Amino acid sequence: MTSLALADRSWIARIQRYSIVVMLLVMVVIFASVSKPFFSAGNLSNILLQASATAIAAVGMTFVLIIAEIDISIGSLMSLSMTVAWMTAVDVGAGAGQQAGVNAWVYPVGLLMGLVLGLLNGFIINVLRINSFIATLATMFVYRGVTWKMVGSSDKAFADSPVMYLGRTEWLGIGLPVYLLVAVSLVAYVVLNRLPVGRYLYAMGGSLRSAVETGLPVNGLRLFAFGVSGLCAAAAGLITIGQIGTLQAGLGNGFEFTVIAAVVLGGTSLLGGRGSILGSILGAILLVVIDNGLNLINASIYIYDVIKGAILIGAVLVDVALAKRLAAT
Amino acid sequence: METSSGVNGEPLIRLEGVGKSYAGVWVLKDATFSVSRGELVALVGENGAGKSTLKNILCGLVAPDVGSLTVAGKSYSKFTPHDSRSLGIAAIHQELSLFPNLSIAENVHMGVGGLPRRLGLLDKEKMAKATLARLEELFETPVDPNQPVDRLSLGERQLVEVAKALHGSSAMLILDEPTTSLSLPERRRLFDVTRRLRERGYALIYITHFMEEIYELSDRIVVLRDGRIVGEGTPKSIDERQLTNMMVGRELAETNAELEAKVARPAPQGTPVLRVTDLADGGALRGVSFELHRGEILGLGGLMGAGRSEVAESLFGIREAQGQVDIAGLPFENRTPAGAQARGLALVSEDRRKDQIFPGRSVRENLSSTIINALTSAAGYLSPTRQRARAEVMTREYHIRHPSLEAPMTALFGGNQQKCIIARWLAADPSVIILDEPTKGIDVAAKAEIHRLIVGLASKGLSVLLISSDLPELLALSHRILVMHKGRIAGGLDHARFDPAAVIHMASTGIAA
Repeated sequence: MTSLALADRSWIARIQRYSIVVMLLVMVVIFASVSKPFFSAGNLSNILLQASATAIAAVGMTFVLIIAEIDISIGSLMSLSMTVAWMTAVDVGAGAGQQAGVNAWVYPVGLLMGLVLGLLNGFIINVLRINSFIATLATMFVYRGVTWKMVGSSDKAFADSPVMYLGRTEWLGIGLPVYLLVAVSLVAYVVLNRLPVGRYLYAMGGSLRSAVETGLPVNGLRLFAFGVSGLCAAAAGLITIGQIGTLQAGLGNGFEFTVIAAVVLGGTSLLGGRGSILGSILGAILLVVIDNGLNLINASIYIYDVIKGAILIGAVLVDVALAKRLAAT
Repeated sequence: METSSGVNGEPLIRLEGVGKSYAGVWVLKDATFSVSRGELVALVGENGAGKSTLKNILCGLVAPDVGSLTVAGKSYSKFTPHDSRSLGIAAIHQELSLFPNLSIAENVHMGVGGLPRRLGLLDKEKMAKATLARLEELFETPVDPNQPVDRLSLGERQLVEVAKALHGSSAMLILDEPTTSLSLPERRRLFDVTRRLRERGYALIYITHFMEEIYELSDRIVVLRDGRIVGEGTPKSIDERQLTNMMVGRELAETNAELEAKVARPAPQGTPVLRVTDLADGGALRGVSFELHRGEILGLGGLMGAGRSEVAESLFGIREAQGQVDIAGLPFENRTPAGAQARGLALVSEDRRKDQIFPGRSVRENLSSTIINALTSAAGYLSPTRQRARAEVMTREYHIRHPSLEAPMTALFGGNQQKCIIARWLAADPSVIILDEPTKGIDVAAKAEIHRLIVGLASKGLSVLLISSDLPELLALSHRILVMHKGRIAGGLDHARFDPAAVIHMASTGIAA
């Protein structure tokens, strides 16, 4: 192999690794050039705020995809966690028709429920040895059904409760959820790259057979990844509730697919063993940039999802082409 | 069976009356076996003799059905991979147990003891340093320990596997065919390392097909055949010929000679049925050319990873490759499996469970899967009755033993599954059949049947490309042998010049004899 081919190779590898950055920059440049308000500080901070719930859930999903599993229950998991949190934290004194106050218990209970339901996903996969797609498809229905049973068709208000503080407070012109996102990502980055457990997760995703033969605790690692996913989804739920102020039984419907799209755009492989926290966050931001930019140029709302779908396919095609080039050099 | 004592005398592991069966077939039966500290035991036997099962039991990957296992004086009823590792037992698996997406250093440190930490965080520096020390022992020119494993060559990966096993082992090391992808200097280094471990009091099990390795390294030889221990002794007490007889069984050794006599001589000549020119894919294949004549059995030898299966897959259109392929004088371009079948090609691939059978479907459906069009009426109806009738004929013709035609394919034993696959391909009336390791992991009787079948088919004019790592099989059946090395044809031998040593030499060095 000549040095030229080697240089070529590292270039291709670099483009492949940072393709999400390239895509995001291209989108930002396009929208900034056609819409003046797009590149204002206010709008950019708004984009981050809008992306934070998806991005935090995407961080959790990255853990699951790295071990070559998938969690499609997170939308339902999020709504059930929030429902239980509401039930626990709602002030019992409020009568019918009155807006009930909700106390600060909503945070710990919501997060704990997310963790528990996530661990339950991992537990089911470990014990029954079923494919994670099927297992979380099943829990997706179950969690949603229980939510409907508990919430019914009436919305639960969160008005004036501490949860609104998270959704509506700004520090230095940037919404609180963005700070939460930064904190979560830093922790997740350290766990994946600087702690042994993170390397075990990558190892397990790289080769499950090797992981078993090496004696890695694969069941424990799987529980861990699904627990993180559930916890992150619950955190995303708290942000969402804080932003919209009510709880409906349909909360988070379809959320899982937006999150998976963000993670995949960020370069995480569905086959496991490859993926990064930064990529997933940028993926989530890219999806919001598309919505936001199209909105600013008054594009028809129906076109948004079409464009997102097209970009997802394009991104995967480019990735496959680059991987082929890489294998050939 | 009392064992000769090693340097320290005390047995580290002891199996007594251990057996393991799958679907009623004993892959290991009544095995009593021990290894002492400071002793190197060569474990030999043909494919499917039970060596891997024995290894997997010691690694905690397979739980025996019967028998007892004692390690360092303690008896275990349940022996997990974790138990095995924490007792200091490690294995170099033939199928490497590496993580391609991680760095060499991470691969070496994965497992027992875990990754090194400083203040709770990964200590990458320490990890790289410790890895480099291991690599220096094994590599001629050590590679960067922070490099991901998927950038390494096959030989380098094998050495990383060795480094990984060494790192996790403190008492016992099992080496399963550790030299198949290694160059000669790399081999020598590995031998040195192995000897040093023995001096340090390790118990060692060395699984290999290579005679010279057995005689150079071992203190004791244990021979397995069909899941049983059939012989045991020191390198001095058993000579090569006795060893081969024990491994193969006298009966089969004779059949091989008889078989060889049945192969039509001289080798068929004339216009080739299959002509391959410069088959290459920039990776596994680096320019492969050969011709196959009508009625000829062309053996394709070489080490694991030499590119033999890749040749088969490229011809059949499963794998993309450049180069010219002519079948019966006509160029075969834009190769696809459907196109290959239409041109009279058939492929029995190496991994029959993964690539060939439809496991949950019935024997009837499996047998008729290549001739569905022929069995379908003009109105588009695929009659189960016609399928059944056809399947009935096939099972009789090829002596396929099956509980029922409606039983799922998985209910059949390996040999019968393989006969089904071959029968199914032959039903489509091919002119060339590619057999990739056709007798791997199947019992002796079925193996002999398949051998006779291959010879019989060739004498009727079918051309056979026989890929096999089983050297006696290759030598007995082939008219001609080509040996591959690193994606190229290293050389060829005509029947008159057949010689196992020459094949091994070409396969391991790439230099034609």
